[in-house]
Amino acid sequence: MLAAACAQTVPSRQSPGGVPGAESALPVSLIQLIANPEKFHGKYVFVTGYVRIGLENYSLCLVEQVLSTQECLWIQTDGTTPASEQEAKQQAEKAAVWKKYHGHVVAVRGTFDMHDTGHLGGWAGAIGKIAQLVVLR
Amino acid sequence: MGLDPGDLFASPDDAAIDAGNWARRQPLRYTVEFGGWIYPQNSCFTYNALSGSATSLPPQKFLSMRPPNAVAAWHTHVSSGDPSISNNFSGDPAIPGSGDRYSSLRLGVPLYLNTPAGDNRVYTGSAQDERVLPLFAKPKPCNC
Repeated sequence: MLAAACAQTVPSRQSPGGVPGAESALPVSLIQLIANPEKFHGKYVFVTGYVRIGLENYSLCLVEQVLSTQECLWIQTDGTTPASEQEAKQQAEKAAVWKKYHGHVVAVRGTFDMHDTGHLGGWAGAIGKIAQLVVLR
Repeated sequence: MGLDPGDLFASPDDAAIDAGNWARRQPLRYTVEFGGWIYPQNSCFTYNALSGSATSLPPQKFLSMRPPNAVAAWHTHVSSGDPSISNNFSGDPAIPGSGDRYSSLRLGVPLYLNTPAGDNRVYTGSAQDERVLPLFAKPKPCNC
């Protein structure tokens, strides 16, 4: 139930009064993104999925019981190669924020990247530049 | 001889050991992942290498640097804070097709892992084919 949901806005695109560009996010399902990556590549989308977090595992999955990470998107928190220990720690901390969403169903607004297929290339694409996250369950 | 990508080794195991040693000499050795491919060169084996982020290796770069004759892939784990996790192959029990072992199957080559504890493991395609290489083993150079 959305009214009871816990809304989180990721600071990168946060502004007082709402999520910038919220109206321009295409509402899509994970099935659409997985089946038609070319169509949605680079698009700002609104999508719902089941979060699994672990070592080398930042997944937004179609359902709770998927068979493989090909049925999930990689959650891209920051894919750059850090230049210093400090940057690396900041990057790890940014990723660690997602641990609290492990096992939850969330809706996110973010940009879909068909080329970013996650660790060792095992995911169906990635959702990054996440502007908003709402825990639905 | 040794401690650099491109050097020649007697076997894929030796190349993987050297790859792990090379990665652990890098400034961000425990905070970002390193990886690459192991492939034959003449009658020896060598490896290439790239660095990633705190959570993964960049997939496009990793996949695009795969030599056509790759015989294995290798990677390191960051020190995640929980040694029981970072010193083992990754994988989510709730997702059968996830983690290092599944990556090995998907990529079609054995996958080496250099752990923060310093050992090297290799998964070659089935639970019975998982090996731990001797700790602090010295990679054998190839005399070719």
